[in-house]
Amino acid sequence: MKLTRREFAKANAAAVAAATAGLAMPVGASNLITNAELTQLKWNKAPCRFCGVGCSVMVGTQNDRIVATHGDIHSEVNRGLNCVKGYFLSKILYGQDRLQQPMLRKRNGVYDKRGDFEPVSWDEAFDLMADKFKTAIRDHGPDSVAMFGSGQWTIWEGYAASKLFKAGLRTNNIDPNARHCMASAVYAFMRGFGSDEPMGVYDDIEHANAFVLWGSNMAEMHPILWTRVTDRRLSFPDTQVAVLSTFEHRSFDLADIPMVMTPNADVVILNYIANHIIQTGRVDRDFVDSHTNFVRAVDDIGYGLRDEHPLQQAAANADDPNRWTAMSFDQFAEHVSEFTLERAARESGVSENRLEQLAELYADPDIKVMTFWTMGVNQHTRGVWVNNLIYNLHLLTGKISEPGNSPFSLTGQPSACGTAREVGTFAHRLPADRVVTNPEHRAFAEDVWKLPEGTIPEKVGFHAVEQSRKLKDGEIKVYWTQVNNNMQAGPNTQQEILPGWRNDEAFVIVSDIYPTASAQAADLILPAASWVEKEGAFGNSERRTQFFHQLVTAPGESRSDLWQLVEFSKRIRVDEVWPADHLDKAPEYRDSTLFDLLYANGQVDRYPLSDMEEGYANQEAEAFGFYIQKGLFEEYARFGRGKGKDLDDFDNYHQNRGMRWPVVDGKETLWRYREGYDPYVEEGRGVQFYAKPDDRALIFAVPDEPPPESPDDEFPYWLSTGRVLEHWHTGSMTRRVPELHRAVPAALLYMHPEDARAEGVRRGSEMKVISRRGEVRLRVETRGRVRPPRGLVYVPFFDANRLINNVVLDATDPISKQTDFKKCAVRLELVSLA
Amino acid sequence: MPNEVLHIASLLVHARPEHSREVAQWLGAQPGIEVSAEDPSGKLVVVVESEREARILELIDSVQVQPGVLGAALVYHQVLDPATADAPANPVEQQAPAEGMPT
Repeated sequence: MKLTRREFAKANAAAVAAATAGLAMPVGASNLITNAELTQLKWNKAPCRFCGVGCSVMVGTQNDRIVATHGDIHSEVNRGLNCVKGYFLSKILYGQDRLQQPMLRKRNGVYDKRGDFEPVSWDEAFDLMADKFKTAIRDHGPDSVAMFGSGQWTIWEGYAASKLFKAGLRTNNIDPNARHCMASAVYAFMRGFGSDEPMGVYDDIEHANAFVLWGSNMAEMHPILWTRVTDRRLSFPDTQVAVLSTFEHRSFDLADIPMVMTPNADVVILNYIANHIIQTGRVDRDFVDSHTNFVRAVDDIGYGLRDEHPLQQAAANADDPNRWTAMSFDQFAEHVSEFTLERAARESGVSENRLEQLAELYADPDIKVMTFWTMGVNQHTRGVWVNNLIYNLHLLTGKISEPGNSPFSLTGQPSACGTAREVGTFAHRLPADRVVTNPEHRAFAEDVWKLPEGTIPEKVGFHAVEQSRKLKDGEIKVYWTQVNNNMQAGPNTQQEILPGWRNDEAFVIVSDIYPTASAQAADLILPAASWVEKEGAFGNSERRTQFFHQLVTAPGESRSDLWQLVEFSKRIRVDEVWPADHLDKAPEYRDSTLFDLLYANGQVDRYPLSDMEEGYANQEAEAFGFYIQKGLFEEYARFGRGKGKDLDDFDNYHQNRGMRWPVVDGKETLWRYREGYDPYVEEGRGVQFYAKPDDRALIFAVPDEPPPESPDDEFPYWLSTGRVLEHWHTGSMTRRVPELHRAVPAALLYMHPEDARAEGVRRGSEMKVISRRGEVRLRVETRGRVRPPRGLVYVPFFDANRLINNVVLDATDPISKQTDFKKCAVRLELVSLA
Repeated sequence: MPNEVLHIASLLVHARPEHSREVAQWLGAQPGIEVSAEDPSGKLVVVVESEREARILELIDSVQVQPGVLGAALVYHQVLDPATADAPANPVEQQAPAEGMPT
């Protein structure tokens, strides 16, 4: 049968969808030739580049360009399906304004902070960068340089960057944008369990008979997982879905127990549920007595604002908020007894009936409950507490670490887990849950890295929000950001971030693929390679590590972040950045460069190019002359082996659809801490939270404390921010797809119709949203996908022309330093009625 | 990338079985859409052809609000050059992608 290209593509499209659905091949499709050797479209797997779910997609390339994608039928995550974001992967790399060469602000032929961008060579860019780094470190010490990285870095990019800063430049001033999304989750895992990341997996969905969405709009943000939840709900009619949020969103469509609560009332609700479990005698005493300890967290911990802020001054424990003391079960029961149903209903605005239904999902021993949460919990001035309060419910009832009973912290970025968290690119972390403040952990890292004792500094580096403040204060002189858009994503843009970046004292470098708000505010722009323009690895929300090959060539002179970091390291000699007394401990490095010290160290450079899988290009490996991705990965993997974070051998990941760690003897782990599933649990223990010294998880008693800012007469509305499905985060990629952009053309101000009436405005009116920090103009939307309650307005943050983060307060969780983007106080002013 | 492009996409639509026929009929009445396969459990395979990507987004939105539809997910997407779309496919292109990747 002779087909046209159009017919052939349609037949393919039908065939793949039919196979995904398990249907018979449609007529026509079965006639296709199936010899893979003869194809011109080359098909390869790659994890999607967008969210933390980690769907696998098949990528079809032709003439060095992505021309087609489809959901990967062999993926256990998405089983052939794909969501809108993944669907547009074919076009996201091909925006017309793709950066293709380094650009430097210049005037009269030389760098000038007030100059205009001019194209420069990589040599000129790196020479200037090296000069800036060396001068800053010589004159102001290593803490005068900093890096802001990403949960979208590949695993080896994050690892190479962390090594460059923590070991090479000897500062812990490196933090990922995952600070804005996952830091609260990380701290809560470490406090409660001693090991980061969920105990369960996505497979829990098919075992649970109740789902609770706690500050998460999965229907729009994690649609593929939502499909699995929907399937479960519809296939098993007794399944219940509870959705709790500060506004109504699309996930409410499936809700059996819908709840809209007052911001900050979650602490009260969670404590009430614990109280309900205790009062109704449904505590699993065997589990609790054998596997948990009760502790009381310190209270009055402030709001992570600048030290001089009155709220910080007033807080008794702002300096040291991450502490607790032991307490008994009876004391815990007494603590939560104040959180009655009546009080929870009054303070949250949710009816007693619904709160009790919600509490029963946890209390009823016959219900298997899976809790999902994301930014509603994490971006919260009490985010760590709320994470821990959710674990409390699962621990009190023993509903944890087994199929269907699963507290599951969802992730926003494709490798927030794999890179930011596991590699430890945070200002306080080292790989595999180690921290810079622990001398044994530093010694271990120095040993793996073959560096003299004392190389890694003990002092915790500047976290994300602190970096902006230190730039503004002139303390950070050189700042390099990769794969993120903090000028748009970060809080309080006008008062902190922009003045910091444009501070004359600072030299700011942005590596990106498009001229984002951040790139335009920089001094030097480095054009990056993205996604399958390089070999990469991501780690998703369920501990699954997935690899991809380089499938197309990056345009122009753009190069991967890995190449940029490692090539740059050749420009700096060890004796230019290490003080004499430290160099004396390792005189053999005196004439070495940071490249020799960190990457050509006999480990990272030990795998020859011949180890690469045939048929795939690899720009970085070819440039450096060794299989650098494998070398970095294998060196990094040493940190996790034997520590419950074991990764598989490098080569296996190119063949499989990912493996969930710990991978021991080639076998992945589905449920951590449970005998029979997790090889680390000792025989006969049943459950063992082995990352804690006494094998016990912690149940936390915390009080409720007011938010840093609440509506008042002057600023009468709550403001919450978030995303919409069609755009991911700041939209720097998705907004490049014109049709996608048109679907949701500009950020809108979502508000309740009665609030609009009370303000004398209507749908389409233009209004100013004003806070104590700044203002932004937006058009009113009173219908549609987001339905706020009275007294609350909602604005998405993808729109570079309407920077809502000018308005948002830069308060953080005092423990995790994660920003609270979900609540501050604003007032509204009419601009034009329309 | 040429400015004019032709998009071919497939969707998997999941309908309640008792509404499956109506949904298929509604889909069949939309321009540029073919229902390529359906089964009694309510699954429908839909192929869309469009010169506008927004058409595909709009379709997903409008399918999802049809009575009896539980969900619509994208599966496949390919970009073609309209100038050569009706040329015979090179025989070496004629290969089903689902089989193309070793598992």
